[in-house]
Amino acid sequence: MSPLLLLLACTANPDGLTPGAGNTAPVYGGTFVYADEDDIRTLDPAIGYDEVSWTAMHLVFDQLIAYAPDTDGTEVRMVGGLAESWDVSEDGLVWTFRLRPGVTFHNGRELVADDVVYSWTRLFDPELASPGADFFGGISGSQAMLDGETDHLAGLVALDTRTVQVTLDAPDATFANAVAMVFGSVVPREEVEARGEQWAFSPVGTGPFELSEWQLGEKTVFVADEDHWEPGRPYLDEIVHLAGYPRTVQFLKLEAGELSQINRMSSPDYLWARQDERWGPLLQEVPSIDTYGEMMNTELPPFDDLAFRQGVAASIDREKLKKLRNGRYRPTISWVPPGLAAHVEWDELSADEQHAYRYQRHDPALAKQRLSESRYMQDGRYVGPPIVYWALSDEASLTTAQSVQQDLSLAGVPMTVKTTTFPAYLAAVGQPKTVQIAYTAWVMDYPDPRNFLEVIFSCDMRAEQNSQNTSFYCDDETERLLDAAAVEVDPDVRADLYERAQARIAEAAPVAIEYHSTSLSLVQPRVKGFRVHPIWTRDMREAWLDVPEGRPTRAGGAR
Amino acid sequence: MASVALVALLGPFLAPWDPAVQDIATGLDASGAPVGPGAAHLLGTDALGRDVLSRLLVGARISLLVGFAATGISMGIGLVIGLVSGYFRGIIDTVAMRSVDVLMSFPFLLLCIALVAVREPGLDNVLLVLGLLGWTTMARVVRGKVLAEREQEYVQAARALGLGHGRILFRHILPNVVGPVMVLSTLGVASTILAESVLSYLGLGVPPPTPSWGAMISEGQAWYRLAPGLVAAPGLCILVTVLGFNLLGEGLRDVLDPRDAG
Repeated sequence: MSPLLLLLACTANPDGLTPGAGNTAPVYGGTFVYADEDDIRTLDPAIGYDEVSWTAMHLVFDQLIAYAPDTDGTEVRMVGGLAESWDVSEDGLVWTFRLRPGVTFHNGRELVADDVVYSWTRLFDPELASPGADFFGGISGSQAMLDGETDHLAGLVALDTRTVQVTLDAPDATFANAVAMVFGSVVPREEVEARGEQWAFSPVGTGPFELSEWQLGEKTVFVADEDHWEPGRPYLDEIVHLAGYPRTVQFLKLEAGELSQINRMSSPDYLWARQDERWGPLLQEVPSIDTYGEMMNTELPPFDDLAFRQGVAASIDREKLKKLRNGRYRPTISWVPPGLAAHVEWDELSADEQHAYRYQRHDPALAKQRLSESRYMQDGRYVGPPIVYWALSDEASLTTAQSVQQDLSLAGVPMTVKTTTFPAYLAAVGQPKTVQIAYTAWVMDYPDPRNFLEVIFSCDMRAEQNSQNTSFYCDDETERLLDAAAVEVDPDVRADLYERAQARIAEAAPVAIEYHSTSLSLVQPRVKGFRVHPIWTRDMREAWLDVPEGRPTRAGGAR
Repeated sequence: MASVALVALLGPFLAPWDPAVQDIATGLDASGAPVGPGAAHLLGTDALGRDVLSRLLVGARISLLVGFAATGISMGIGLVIGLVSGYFRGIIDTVAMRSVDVLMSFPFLLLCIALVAVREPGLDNVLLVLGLLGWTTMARVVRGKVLAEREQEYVQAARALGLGHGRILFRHILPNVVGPVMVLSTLGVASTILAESVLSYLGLGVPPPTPSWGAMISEGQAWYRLAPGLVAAPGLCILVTVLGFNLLGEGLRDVLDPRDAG
């Protein structure tokens, strides 16, 4: 054998598996590579509001409050991030954050309280139109800023270089969650202003990784920040994000040893990996805090008719969808997922309570009855305008779309399926009177029913562009309940308010509620410390690679 | 070709199952995977529990319908433009041929994808786009043939007798250019079937649940490991049909073009 062939024989791995070197304690070094179908949209934390961008921004930025490393499922524990401590006044209106000393931005400048004031004030810049303004909207004076009446937030002040004080208009049980969101990231004013429009593509943060290279539409490279404020630098040298790879290709690249981890798998790839003796043991399945369904635009015929929406919701066979997704989905009647206040299970409801949720279960007889009472059905025939269902072109979305199509067909409602790309889908469903019916999903930003109900069903969340309320549902009583729950501090009263709001939503059926999913993750054997995170989806901050050339961690392996 | 045409004609009657009906209870196994070939489903089922054989049979009708109808449209347009352009020459010829140049400078499929994507998906949309974009080769070939024919003595004689342009073009010249038209049309059907498959594969063709061979490949490709038949079966159908039309075209050329005979 020639030396070259011998070398190839030693390094090539026909399985694509990259086995570990046998280190039992974390070591430094290595590159973690992951991929998505879409590119990172922006690295401006005031703007980005999608999973791909958030995962990347979680590497570059820190917030005052963080989720504890042992956060798992819905048991989310919050700890100090850039803030070493914080106090809340007895009336819940005044929050005082004490910043951690010695934190520096990637440009070397030390973080001060004015940076927090600047970063959060920036969310209310009318020209920026940050989606984060909704989450920080309880800060006194925020509306005046959004209206352009003032250029500073009355309720946000730096008491000294390390102390930030926030005054809210009303108590807000989710304000700590808002602070821990990417929107709460702290950015350096001088860099934002100097970089102008390029800021979103060349950010400077305080996070454990800094942006090294971004080839738009192809790949983004993040390198470890040697001076990160957490004890020790991150274990990984580099994290690379690849864009433009559909989930089936991601799986092939993982098999070829070119990716470190994937978290989106098609149904056949999942089944194949599960039964494969090499990859099966590496597959992680974790219940996801999310809800899937079909949004129905309440402003567009035929879905502007309550009876029609209720009939459609009752015609969808959730158990069929579960089987199509290999039994991984949990059919549900509750938009709020399990583990959160206000989640409901059919069997645990009284007969009276079940009444509101009856359209959110597969009931063909009830579906036909309600459809027959709709003005868009006459003598069992559909007489409304043509219905176009917007689906994504991936295997999962198309399968679901065709399943729903058949269910509706059995109920006498014809429907055409239109496939589109994710960006086109997002743009269309976020516009009023554009999409009649489409797949919809909500994955939590933070574990609270407010994040599921207010964001999706509040009248205030309707917008001319990028509307989060894609069904454009607006009900005065639901709005009153959501508003009351938002400022309620008693957990039991709050949960009751959200339960009542959810019951009204379930009965009005702006969405056919279908199932909660599971998060999948398949990693190379050498990837350690990686976890499926309930908030960040992928959390590489603590990950390390069991590489033979890895340098040992600092004394004792502690970071 | 005859058998493919027969299947396309009788497909819906031969199909053992309704090709659109999803049989989740027995058409998928316990894990939700398609079932393989068996007595109930001779070629197995797809990811939604639908009978693959039935979808292939009914899909043949879509493929051939698109193939013939779109080719008919493009051949009709190309024939008329080629005849008029070659016969009258002058400004008409210049405008027509420069239009052909412009259209041919774009990759055909890319142009189809762009136009189909602008409109709502549907069979009529696919037919229209493939038909309206596929006429350029025919126009070029017919024009060339007409340029030669218009100098022939029988055309000069017809002119001398005072016959009108329309009569000369369609009664005298047209029968003499029908050979290449037949050959090109046959080859056009093959390439149109292939183009429809590509559009359907990209999700721009006939919308679900209507079966189409291209869409079947698209929907089945993710299962290539666990159920390779979902890709192989429609792929084989496209291969056989396209190959068949190409061979038919070559055969026709041999028959209709005496210069190539022997």
